[in-house]
Amino acid sequence: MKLISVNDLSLQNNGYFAFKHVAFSLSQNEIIGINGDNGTGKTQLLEAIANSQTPDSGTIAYTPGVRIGYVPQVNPQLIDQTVAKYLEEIRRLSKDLAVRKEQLQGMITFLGVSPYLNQPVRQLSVGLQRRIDFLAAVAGHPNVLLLDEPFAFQTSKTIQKILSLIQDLKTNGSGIILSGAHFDEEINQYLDAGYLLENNTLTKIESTTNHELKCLLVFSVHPNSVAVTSDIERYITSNLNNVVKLELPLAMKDALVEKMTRLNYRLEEVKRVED
Amino acid sequence: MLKIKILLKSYLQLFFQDFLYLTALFTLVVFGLTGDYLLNINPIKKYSLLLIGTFFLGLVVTMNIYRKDSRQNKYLKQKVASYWADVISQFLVALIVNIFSGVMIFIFSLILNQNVKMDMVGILTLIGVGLLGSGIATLFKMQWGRYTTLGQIGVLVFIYLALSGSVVNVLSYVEWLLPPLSKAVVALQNKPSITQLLPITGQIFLYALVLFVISSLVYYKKKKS
Repeated sequence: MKLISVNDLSLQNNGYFAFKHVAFSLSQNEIIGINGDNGTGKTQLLEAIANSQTPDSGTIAYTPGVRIGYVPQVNPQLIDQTVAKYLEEIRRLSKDLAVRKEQLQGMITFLGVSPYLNQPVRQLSVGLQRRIDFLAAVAGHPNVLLLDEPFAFQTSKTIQKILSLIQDLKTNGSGIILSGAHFDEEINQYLDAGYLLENNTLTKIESTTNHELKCLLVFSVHPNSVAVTSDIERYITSNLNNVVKLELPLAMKDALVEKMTRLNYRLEEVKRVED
Repeated sequence: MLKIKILLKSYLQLFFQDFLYLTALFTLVVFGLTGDYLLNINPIKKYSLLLIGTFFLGLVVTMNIYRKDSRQNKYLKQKVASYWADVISQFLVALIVNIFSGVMIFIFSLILNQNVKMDMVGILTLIGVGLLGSGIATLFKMQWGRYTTLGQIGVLVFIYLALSGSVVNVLSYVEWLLPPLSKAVVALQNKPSITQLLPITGQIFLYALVLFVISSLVYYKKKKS
């Protein structure tokens, strides 16, 4: 199901086009990547979709019920509240539609923000503040997530974790748009479609897709192995004779191995799977 | 309620992010304490000057809030996603700050005495003119968005009308349309009694309220178009 359809969208700033005649759509269970050099209009395009910027022409059609979570490139808000209070307040804004308190707590822990819960947000480093922006965007459980340079100032380990959360959201029916100057191979594997914003126009990159590289992980079950969590369960292809097999995008391999090891499964084999 | 609470808290934080409000309030408080001796004026003249000062305090600090709000809170508003919660929060924060300013300025003006009615009218009129300034700042908050020039000219015109409405003869025909600040000041010069300001105080509050209501409708239309 389509969540957002962008049709012939153009935006000018002081007589200069930020972008023109942009058209694409975002569906459920889809991750789109938009690349482009600095100043090519990626941020303005995302702002237009997030309703912060009014385009000069064209339309953006939102499917009824669409709720947008937006992580801006720069968030100028100075937040004096502690991380815990701020995130809980933002979560409560979405009332019953928000993620559960425990789920948010889980994401906070997963992204390594737990040690900073009692610190005022404005006192944290830029990288941590961006992680909190990400958590604030997903706390409302949006079905459309717009992420502008979400991996800036993050370590590769944190990027991996953010990608894992994005993948979870996708699997649960959300549509995600990632925007950045450049995505490396690891990130590209998560994308279902890639676009390049260049010379004010948006063109589709045919080669970027996450269907190309997959892997099969084989784990052996031990007496102290505990039940796998629902986020892992969806990748299980077989669970027979104390052997669990999981098929997943290659980029998620390290995160999944880490999770399974924590649940006391032993990695026996890794195989490359071609589509 | 949560949306209003979040926005109200954010607006109040903006007030105290810099020292503009506290410095301006402190200046008026000190003037209230020393004005009689400094300028050799009677308490009524000093009160008239305090009314004008409180009007500018309300106007300038509210303009400063909208300036900071336009730069800092864009994404917070997106998360809250409620135009009316924002409108109510803006009115409430203006009310809270002007109540605080009015009470502080009146107490330290040394005009306070055992005549409770006079004290009440004195404080209410100060709150009213502060709210009037905030109302004008709210009506022309477009100056911090796309319509910079229009907003700035609007503020200047309203300052002129607020100060000259009861002084310039040509404007006397449409006096009821003008911000009633000069009306209060002129009334005090004609009859040196703060208590007699009560009907004008009501008019000031009504005018400020109308400004807030008009602003909410003007910006709502802009948002929809």
